[in-house]
Amino acid sequence: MTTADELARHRPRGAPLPPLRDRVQATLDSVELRGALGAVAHRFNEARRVALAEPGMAEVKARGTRIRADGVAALRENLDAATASLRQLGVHVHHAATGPEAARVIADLAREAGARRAVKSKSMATEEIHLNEELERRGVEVFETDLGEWIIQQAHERPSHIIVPAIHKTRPQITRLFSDVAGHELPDEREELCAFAQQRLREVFLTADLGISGANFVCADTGTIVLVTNEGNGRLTTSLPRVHIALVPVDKVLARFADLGTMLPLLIRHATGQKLTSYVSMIHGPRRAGELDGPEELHVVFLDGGRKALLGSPFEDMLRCIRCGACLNVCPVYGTIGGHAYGGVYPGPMGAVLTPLLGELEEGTELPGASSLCGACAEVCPVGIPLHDLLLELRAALAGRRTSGSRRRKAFFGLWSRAWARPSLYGASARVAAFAARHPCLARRLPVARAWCEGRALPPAPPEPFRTWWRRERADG
Amino acid sequence: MADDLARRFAAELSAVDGTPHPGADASAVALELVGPEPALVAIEDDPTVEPVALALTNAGHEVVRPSETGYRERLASAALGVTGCTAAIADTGTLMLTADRAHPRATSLLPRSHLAVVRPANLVSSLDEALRRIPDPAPSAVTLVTGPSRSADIEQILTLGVHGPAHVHVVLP
Repeated sequence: MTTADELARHRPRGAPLPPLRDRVQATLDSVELRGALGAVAHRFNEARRVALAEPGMAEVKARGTRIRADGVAALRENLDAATASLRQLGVHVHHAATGPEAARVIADLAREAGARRAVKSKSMATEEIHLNEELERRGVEVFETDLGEWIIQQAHERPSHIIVPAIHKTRPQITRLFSDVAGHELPDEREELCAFAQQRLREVFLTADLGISGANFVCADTGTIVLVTNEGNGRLTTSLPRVHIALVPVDKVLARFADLGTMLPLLIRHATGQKLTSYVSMIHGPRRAGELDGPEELHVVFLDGGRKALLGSPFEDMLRCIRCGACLNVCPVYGTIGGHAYGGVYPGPMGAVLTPLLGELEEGTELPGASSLCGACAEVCPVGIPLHDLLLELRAALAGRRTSGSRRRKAFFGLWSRAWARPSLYGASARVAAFAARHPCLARRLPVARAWCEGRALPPAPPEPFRTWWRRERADG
Repeated sequence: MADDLARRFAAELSAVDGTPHPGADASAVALELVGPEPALVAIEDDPTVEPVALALTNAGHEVVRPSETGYRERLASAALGVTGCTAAIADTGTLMLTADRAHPRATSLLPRSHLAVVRPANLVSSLDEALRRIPDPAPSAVTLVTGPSRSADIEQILTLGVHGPAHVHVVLP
């Protein structure tokens, strides 16, 4: 049996992704993964419901939506202001137009700093630009230090959830991975495994010369870099190594530091249901004269990566996203197929919208179809992104792109539309469809229908078409 | 007023697996935490925690301060880190710590246990109030600490102390 992560793992970089249908099937075949997906969704959904039931939270959500909408509208100005504030604090600011450029800038900085060993705190943006591969190619040893990220780094996989990256890994699998690292058998106990990871990574932290992080927010007026974490690896990453580089997608900029009073509780309650995470780091430049820790050198690399192109487009609202992961936890499709099936870095409803928009993978174009459009994602979204509308909008845009060259397709749908405009021909087609539905093996033999039938289960057909039934009922009545 | 804030802080801290010590003597709590065997304890250069440093030294423990050479290197093997705070948020049981030369970032991070001493004037009700207390110009690092380090990355079950302290003790007025 091939699991979704095996499919993802064995794919060499640049090789085509297996079709969505195969990726989905792989998850459906894994009983363990489906159990884990259900457990995490339940835990987060319950915690979030409790956290949001507190008085005043509806108002916080409305305020947060306004802050993010205004922030997107003024994205360029805020980015300029953030750049100026950061430089004022002694931070070196770099702007990268594309993912590969950002990876190159960071790898160059690592080389200039003479860095041999880098520690990373969890950052989806660094996944997006494939930073680890670039650094390793350039001879820098890279350690993921978030426990979940370290697990999947050992397994050579990718995160399957943006908050819980190793949600798809079972304890016995983790025991095997860690035993390989240790060079001897470790007990299959959670506490022991955590202690092993903590000790091993502590040694790494004390010897690393480069810390790499993302950022949850950057405040334009104060140049504050904000990191929200629970384990403390984010604090270690930004406190101990001599050089700290933060990779910040341009949509992470907030206009005002004072907005954090709204945005931190909003993000955290939607992500994990906590009131605040164990740690929130607010960094203002490198260490100052006489200080004993904090980086001597601090860089911020702003990543565009296709984001600014969304400004003014029908998809602009997607730039409000604060990566809380709530839409993953409520999505019936994500809950069934898991994160790896989406194929890109960002899974779930937000990933189905963002992946094709950022042009991350060619295959991403089928993702907007992988939704039931139930709207649970839009309902839970803390910043009011109309995710299901954007999915529909994307389907329309992608459908337009696909059919524009195909005369045969246009001719087919033209005939269909003319036929269904006439009641007699519509009735005839319904009788044919009802017959075909009762004999699916026949339909599968037809050249066009075969491809369509694959991966689709037809609902059982009623014994007679509605119109036949109606005529009889009316006659009887 | 301060009593009410302290009570709320204590309840919220307990809810996130931290340990409040309302009305306790900070030195007595520190002595109990390190136990009878001689231990290495890292303590900020802060008047609030000065008595704790004295009490531990007198009891035969080794105390290391930021003003001494080798603090950073020795911190990693300290059993306990002792700090004051810039604010303590009652709504969430959160400590706000600000870094400078007397208050290194890692004192509350590297040792297995963290003891913080809250003075009455530190207590505020909300996150917004705490953020307004950040000095101007802003310190190089402002850290909000809400309970011990936690992870649920293995089997979705909570484990404390995966990278930061497993134990957070807070002495309240």
